[in-house]
Amino acid sequence: MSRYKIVTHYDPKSPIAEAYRTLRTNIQFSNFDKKLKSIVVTSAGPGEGKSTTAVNLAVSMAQDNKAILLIDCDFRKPQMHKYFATSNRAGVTNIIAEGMEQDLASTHIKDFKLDVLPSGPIPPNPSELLGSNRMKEFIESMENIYDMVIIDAPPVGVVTDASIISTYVGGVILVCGSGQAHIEASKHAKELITKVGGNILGVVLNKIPMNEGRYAAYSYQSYYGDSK
Amino acid sequence: MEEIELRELFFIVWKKKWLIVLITLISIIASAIISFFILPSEYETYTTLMVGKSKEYSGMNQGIEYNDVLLNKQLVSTYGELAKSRAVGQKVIEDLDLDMSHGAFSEKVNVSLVNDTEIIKIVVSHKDPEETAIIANKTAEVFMEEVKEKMKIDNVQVIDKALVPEGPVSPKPMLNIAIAAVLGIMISVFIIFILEYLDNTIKTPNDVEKHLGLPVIGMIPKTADK
Repeated sequence: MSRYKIVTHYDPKSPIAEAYRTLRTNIQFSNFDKKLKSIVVTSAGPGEGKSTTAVNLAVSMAQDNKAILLIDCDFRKPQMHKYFATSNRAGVTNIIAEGMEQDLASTHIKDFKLDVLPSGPIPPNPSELLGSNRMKEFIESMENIYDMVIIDAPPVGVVTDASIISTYVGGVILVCGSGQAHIEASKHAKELITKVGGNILGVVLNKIPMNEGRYAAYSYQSYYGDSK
Repeated sequence: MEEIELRELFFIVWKKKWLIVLITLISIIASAIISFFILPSEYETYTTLMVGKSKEYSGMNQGIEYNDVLLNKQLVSTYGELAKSRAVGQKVIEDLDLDMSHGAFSEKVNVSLVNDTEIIKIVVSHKDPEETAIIANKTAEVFMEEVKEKMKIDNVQVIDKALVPEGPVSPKPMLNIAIAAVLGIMISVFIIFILEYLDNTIKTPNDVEKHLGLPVIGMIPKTADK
């Protein structure tokens, strides 16, 4: 499943990869007052493309010669390890619950110049674990080591995890699946994050159908010629 | 109210073109099946009668008198009512041994007066072509007898005898299919707009800004294989 989803790596000249690079640039410029060091990616509902966005954003930032740590904080349905075909035997939960060293739990993916920290064994109380002081301290320490920490979280409209994470990260990216994200659900998601003081950087509109004329105006041109 | 561009309306419909094709095809097929197999064929024929006899006119040297024509014209409406009467209908049913009530008979047999003439037209529609002609001619015949008997004058003559109709007048499969096709297209376009109206999902960057008040920082095209 990983090959076509990490399009920024496998097909870097494609319009989709270009779209992720535009996202990267927009994030770089969205918070120039304070240095943005950590981002959580979430959405209102499941299946809108959170993990894919998180992975591609991380990869395109790593391509920009930044030290990136990608953390899977979706303890309910962890997926990061599947994208990079790595083990999920050790991860965030081990670090927080058992005090495992971060560099033991995370894997450096050479091809992507990227450190990936999978979720680890699924804990019985994910929300409490994410809300713990140890978790906050861990993210802070990671912000000191890496240029950017990108966190994949469960849908904010379904469980509270993402809004908890948003309290101690620099910014929140809300992914909306085009033609999929309901207006009310998305409004609710926005409220949940802003209520706890989360800083929403903006919305990533995902899965835009490009072959339909009404979207033609938004289509990206590849600056590098043909994508193949 | 938000403004919707014509171009956008077109794409709303175009996006769901399969729905139009599907619904239109279904209605065409349904109407074809109903027209060809379910609806009984109806045949129609008519006979025309004229009030006033040539011998009346020829009997007089001066030819056709205006008063004769006027009289006959007035008689025509009386005759028309007579032709529609139960007496005539009942007799036709009995003579032909038809298996129908008078109500059913009067639905099938339509007596009309051709405007400003002395002509009465008896139109019959029925499921069997030969019987249609027989009923028409019989009705004319019974009616003329009835006139002779009741009015004591014999001044009605047949102009056109009813012929056995060649083809059915209804159902008209082509017309029905055309109507079904047009209706199908209209209904499907209507459904598409209803669906679009009920669709409350975020689709464009404009939707994000309008409903969420958040900036759009990324627009990721749909991947081809998902």
